[in-house]
Amino acid sequence: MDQRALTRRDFLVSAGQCLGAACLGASLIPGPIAQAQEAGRWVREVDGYIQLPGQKIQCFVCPLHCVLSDGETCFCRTRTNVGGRLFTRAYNNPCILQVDPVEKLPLHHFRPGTQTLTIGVGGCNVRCLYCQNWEQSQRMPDELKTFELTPRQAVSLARQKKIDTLALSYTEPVAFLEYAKDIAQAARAARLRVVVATAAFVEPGPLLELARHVDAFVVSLKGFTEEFYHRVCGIRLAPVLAALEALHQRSGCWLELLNLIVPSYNDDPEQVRQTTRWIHEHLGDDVPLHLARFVPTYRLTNLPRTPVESLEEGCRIARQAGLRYVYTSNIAPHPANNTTCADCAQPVIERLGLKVLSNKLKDGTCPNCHRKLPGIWK
Amino acid sequence: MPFRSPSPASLDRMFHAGNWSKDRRAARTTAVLLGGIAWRPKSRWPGGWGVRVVVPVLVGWALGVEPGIGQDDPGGELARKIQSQQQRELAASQKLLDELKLTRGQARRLLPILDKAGALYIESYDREAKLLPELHSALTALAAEDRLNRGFTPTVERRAGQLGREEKELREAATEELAELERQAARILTSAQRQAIGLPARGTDKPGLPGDGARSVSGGQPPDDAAELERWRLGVLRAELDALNARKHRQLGRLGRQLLVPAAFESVCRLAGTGLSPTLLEAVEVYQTGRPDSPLQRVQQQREEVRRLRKEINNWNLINGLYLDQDQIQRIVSLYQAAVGDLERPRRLSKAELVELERSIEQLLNPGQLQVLAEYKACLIPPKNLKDPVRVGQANDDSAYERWLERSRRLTGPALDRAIDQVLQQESERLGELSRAERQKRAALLGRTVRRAAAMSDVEFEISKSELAARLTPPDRVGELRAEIERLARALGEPGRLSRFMLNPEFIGQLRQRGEQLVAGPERRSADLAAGPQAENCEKGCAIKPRGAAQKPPER
Repeated sequence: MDQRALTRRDFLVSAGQCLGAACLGASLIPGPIAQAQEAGRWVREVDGYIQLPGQKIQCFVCPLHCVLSDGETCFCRTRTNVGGRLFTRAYNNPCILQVDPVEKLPLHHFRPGTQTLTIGVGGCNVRCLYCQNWEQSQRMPDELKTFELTPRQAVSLARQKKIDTLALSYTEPVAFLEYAKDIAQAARAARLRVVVATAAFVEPGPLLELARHVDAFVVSLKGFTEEFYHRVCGIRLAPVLAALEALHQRSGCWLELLNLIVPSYNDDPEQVRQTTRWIHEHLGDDVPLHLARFVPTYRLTNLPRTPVESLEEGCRIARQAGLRYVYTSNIAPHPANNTTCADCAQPVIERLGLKVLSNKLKDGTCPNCHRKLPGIWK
Repeated sequence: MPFRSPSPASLDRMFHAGNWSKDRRAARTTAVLLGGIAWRPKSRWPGGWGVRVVVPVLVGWALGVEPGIGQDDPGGELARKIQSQQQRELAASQKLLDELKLTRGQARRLLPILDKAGALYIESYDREAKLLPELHSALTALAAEDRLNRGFTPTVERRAGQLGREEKELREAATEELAELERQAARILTSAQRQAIGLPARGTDKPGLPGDGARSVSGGQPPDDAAELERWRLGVLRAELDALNARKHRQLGRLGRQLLVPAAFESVCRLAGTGLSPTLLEAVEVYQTGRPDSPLQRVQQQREEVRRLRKEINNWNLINGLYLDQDQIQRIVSLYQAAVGDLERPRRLSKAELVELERSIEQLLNPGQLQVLAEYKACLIPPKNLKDPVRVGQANDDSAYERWLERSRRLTGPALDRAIDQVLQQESERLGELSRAERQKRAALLGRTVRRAAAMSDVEFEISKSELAARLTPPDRVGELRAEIERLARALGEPGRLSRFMLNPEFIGQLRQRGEQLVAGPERRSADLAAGPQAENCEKGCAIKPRGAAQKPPER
């Protein structure tokens, strides 16, 4: 075998050849966007952002207005700046697919006793310390076990299961806004109903755009002080109130509110009084309010469950403030799980937890006093 | 009537009675008169039962020392209870022996089995004595939290759950071993003896179905009279429920309960013409007085306290699950008080009064509360299920089958067979032994469902899995029987579940406490939000830097 020492010249020639081959190879490798799209991630470029100098961008979907350098992702964990363009990681890849009773959202004035096909995608733009779905909401979609489901497939799945309502819940639909919008649009086209559960920390524009294809919203109003929103949820209260007003005044969607009562955090009667007064003044007295019992979870495991007395007191305060439909959630069988006619005080829908035991309403009308109850009943 | 000499146990009890001073003269006289007859030491071992048991008692008596077990029992109530229980056990054992008429040979053959039963008794007592104080303290903490109805702190819940399970396992293991000894003892008996005590003929007894005492499920011919027919049906259903429970929880027959127990040891030894072996003697001592470091009275006190705590926790769980409001509580308590008179010393209600009271209270409850009561099964720690907030006690839950389907739908061949066998094994442990036909039927259903799940796409399976799991969940025959029994019993004017769970002084006492809690309102504290955990926010910028982990989709 011919063995000779490697000269400096030979070495430089070989190194040059290798470098050339590497450069040629690199030019043939697809760019980051193509790569990502090929891998099935970030398949959608999103709206609602502006480009800034230096491949930076600013997102305007939620009030955080995140400014992102190339490769960075929004606070919601789903929108990523890829080469100066904003792409979503949350499209066609839900991590939650469930068939649930509509009461679980909770919606008590929307076709009681029916089922929803509920879809959720990883990520959220809120950081609630007590999140019950934190394993999904506090991770990026591609860090989770997901299913492949296009909006059209979602619709045909619902049809196949003979379910006529699609729900976007468990995580925050604002974080998968484009997917949510396309699902809602496809569902509407197929004459299915769409309901959305959200924290409403979103700019009114994108929210109303989504609302065009939605029948009902459940908005989680988490507290009524900026401090609570800042320290417990990592966001601000004012934009949520603005979004609620926009929904109420301009969307035409049915609206119910959820307020999780966390003991020693937001169970102060004065805070509940202020919340319910604001609801009464800005959203009206027909908006149902669900006061939910807190169960220790995620980062607030040091707290006990909410005392039933606090929830009952909250119900009393809300009724005193003029709200007509106040419910308790996460406790059953409590009298405040039932729907009672605001005029004659007769129970018209009796529930046991998420089950409807009896529904006496006829076309949404009380059989006793014939008052029409607000809601979507058919 | 032939004279039967008293056993050392009965003599010993006379001296261990809490009402010692009251009966002192009578006990002394009896002991002196009968002691000589009873004490016939045939023991081959030094220090037989006579020396170990009777002599210390006589010495103590001579010295005028009060019996040890009465020391923590000033009223003597517990000692009297122990005494009367032991008397009942002794009488039951004696009755069994009278019915069996064992020959000396049989009694001798029984001795090694008794020895094992004695050793088992001692071991169980020691383990129980060690476990009870810990269980007591765990349940006390659990009851205190249950009273507040704010959920359990994880450590308290874990500890109570673990110790509760340990106690159950201890009891089940002892029963299991004793059942095996019982089978061995049954083989010594003749067919006539077996028949005399209601055991099935030789070779037909199955594990877990002792045969004696268990009523026939068929219940004989139905009566012609329509009114009697309902009562007959009730009897048949109750017998079926008993039989199902016997399948689920191993139950001992009469031999296990009345022959393989310390109360019978001395009599069997006497029949065998021998004295008590050291093991049997020790077991009798433990049975009568306990251990020096864990005397019987203390252990018995702890047993009763644990039983009381369990009952209290069960009551709290039901009260917490019913969500009665102030008005309902007040009215229930008033109705009960009107019926029983003094709440401290309640009058015993007749069946008719109980039924009437039950009907009045039912009218106060809403449909949801009535359903919760109808489905309630007592348990220590109610299962948590956010899918269904109504679960109060142990109820059917198919989430385990969901998880099993998720795992098994990817299996085939022998791996799938093994997975099915595992499920069948667990079901047998949970629901009682399955017959061969039942097993085959279940295996076929499990296999069919797994194959169906395997044929589905991931998406389709995800939304169908709870439906598939519900099909796999075995029918709750016990629940069905309970509901039907309740319905029939109510129709026949018998008290139902409401009476059983709610109409007792303990429950009403706890309900009053809950009413007071509701009147007092929530204990309010305002947390300093700045001091607790803080939610992540955008103060230092919202952007999330790229991470390697996020680029790799996880394995499905």
